Amino acid sequence: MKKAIVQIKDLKKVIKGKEIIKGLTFDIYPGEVFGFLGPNGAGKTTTIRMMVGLTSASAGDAIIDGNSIQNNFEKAVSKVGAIVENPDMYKFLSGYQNLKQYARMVSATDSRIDEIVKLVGLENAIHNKVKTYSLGMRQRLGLAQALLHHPSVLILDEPTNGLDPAGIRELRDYLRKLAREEDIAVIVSSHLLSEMELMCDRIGIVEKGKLVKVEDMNEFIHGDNQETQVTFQVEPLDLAERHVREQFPNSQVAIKDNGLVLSINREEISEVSSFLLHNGVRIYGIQSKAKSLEDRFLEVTSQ
Amino acid sequence: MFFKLIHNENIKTSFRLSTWIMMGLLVVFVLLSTFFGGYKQPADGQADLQKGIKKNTAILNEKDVDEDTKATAQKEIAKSEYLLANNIKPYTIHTYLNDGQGMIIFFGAFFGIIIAANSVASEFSTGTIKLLLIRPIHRLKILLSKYVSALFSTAFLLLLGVLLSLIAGGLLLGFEGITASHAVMQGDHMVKETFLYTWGKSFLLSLILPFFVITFTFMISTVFRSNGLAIGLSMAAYFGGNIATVFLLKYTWVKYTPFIHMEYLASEESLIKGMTTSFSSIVLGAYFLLFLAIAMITFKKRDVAI
Repeated sequence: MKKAIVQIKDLKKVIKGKEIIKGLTFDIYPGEVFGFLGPNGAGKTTTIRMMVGLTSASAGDAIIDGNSIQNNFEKAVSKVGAIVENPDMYKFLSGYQNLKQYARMVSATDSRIDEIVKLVGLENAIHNKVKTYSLGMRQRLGLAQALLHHPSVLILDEPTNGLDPAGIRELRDYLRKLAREEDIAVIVSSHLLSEMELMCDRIGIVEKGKLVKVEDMNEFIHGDNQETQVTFQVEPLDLAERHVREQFPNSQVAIKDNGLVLSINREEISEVSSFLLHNGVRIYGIQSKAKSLEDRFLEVTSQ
Repeated sequence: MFFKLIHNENIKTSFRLSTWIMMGLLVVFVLLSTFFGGYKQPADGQADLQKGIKKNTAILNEKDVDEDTKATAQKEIAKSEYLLANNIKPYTIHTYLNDGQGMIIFFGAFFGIIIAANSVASEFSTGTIKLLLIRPIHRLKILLSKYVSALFSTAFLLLLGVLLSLIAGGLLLGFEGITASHAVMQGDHMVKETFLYTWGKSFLLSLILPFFVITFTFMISTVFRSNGLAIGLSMAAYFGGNIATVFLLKYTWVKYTPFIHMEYLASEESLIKGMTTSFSSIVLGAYFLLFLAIAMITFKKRDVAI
């Protein structure tokens, strides 16, 4: 296992006597895309604000590449590129002039600016004023400023906001590439669950200021003991149904579209099949419907 | 790094529309007052002085004139006689530059207040503060660069006004008067002084008030993150500070209020007795440090949640 690049340690935030973030602890590793999920008001943005030092933590700390964001802010944040909520830039300046502003603060060269502008595909509009930009273009510019100084950690709050489907796909591919090829840890928060499912390697679910779950995306969706809906194309259908109800009284059984639908886990699929074959039922097909992240997310957060 | 931050702030200021409007207004007002102010260099200054003495002597001999007018006439006579005796030529450009000084300073103050009010508050209102504060730079450095840049921009505008006045005035009334000597009242007698020195000194001393108010504006802008409030309170302080002081004269603690000291340092005149330059400097210095400290502490501790 790689060494964690971001360590969140019992992070807490109290605002006006109310505990908004109730002690989050998790690690993020280089080369992974980490999804930060949660319903509105769960504390995602507050956590991100604490991770980049915009808001002070009431207790706990965020350690970035060994440096505490609380006590060694400049060193810690020099490894971070971020967009917090909207990519708000100076609208009366051009995209290029905006990047120049940030470049001066992190000592990035002009050739680095050109490189990054090309990377986010803004060459044609970079000398226009930002007020003429669409939201999608502002997101790209936001990404450009976040990457200017070769960060090891990229934090993006709702990055797909305002992007069209092609833009979302491009961003997704690009983030995955950044993680794989440059070993950057990418932290993405979003409400768009289907997007997160495609984008992330690991997810953390926050709810009411608590971390409900941190898990590998695949394990989370199709964990070993997860029941999935399995459809058996069998003949004769009524015989199969009767046998199954007798043999597996605890399973949910239904008939849908001329198929026998069962809620069972992985191991049980082969059990059910061999049982059916032994009882003279012919099987023409077995389909197991994977749960989406959305299904699992709702399961977890509604507990 | 600090200079780069100031450079960044200067760029932002230079791209704001209000900056160009203020500069344009300053240029227009200086030129208007130069060419429509009725200033004219007399053909024979000495003869005019003689005429002035005669006119003022006549006033002194009149019966219905009040004491104040007589005192002014007396002063004028003394001054004219001193100029004649020392062979000092009167120049209209002196009157012109003295008249214009207040206007330039007013524009400088107004401009500085707008910049200082915007520099922190607008970063919050547009959300740009977030991307500014997640750089590897200490927050106080960012705040101070904004303050220094606001002062720098104000100084730039003042310099523009001064140069424009000197050039426009010089073209209209001749340049030689600028560096010529003139007579200054010192205590109860006249002394000879280079005009540019006298004028420059009074200009700089008059800048204490704008400097103070701009610092105040900057503090309000940082604490309340509202440029409207900062501009409003600062304009009230700029125009109303001295008036408010008058109402406080009956209290002993009036000597710890700021405006009375700025008035004293700029004009050496004061509504209360026992003022000294060092005491006034200490009181104003304390206010200045207090404003900056409040701005720095709130900015440092602020949770950015926009």
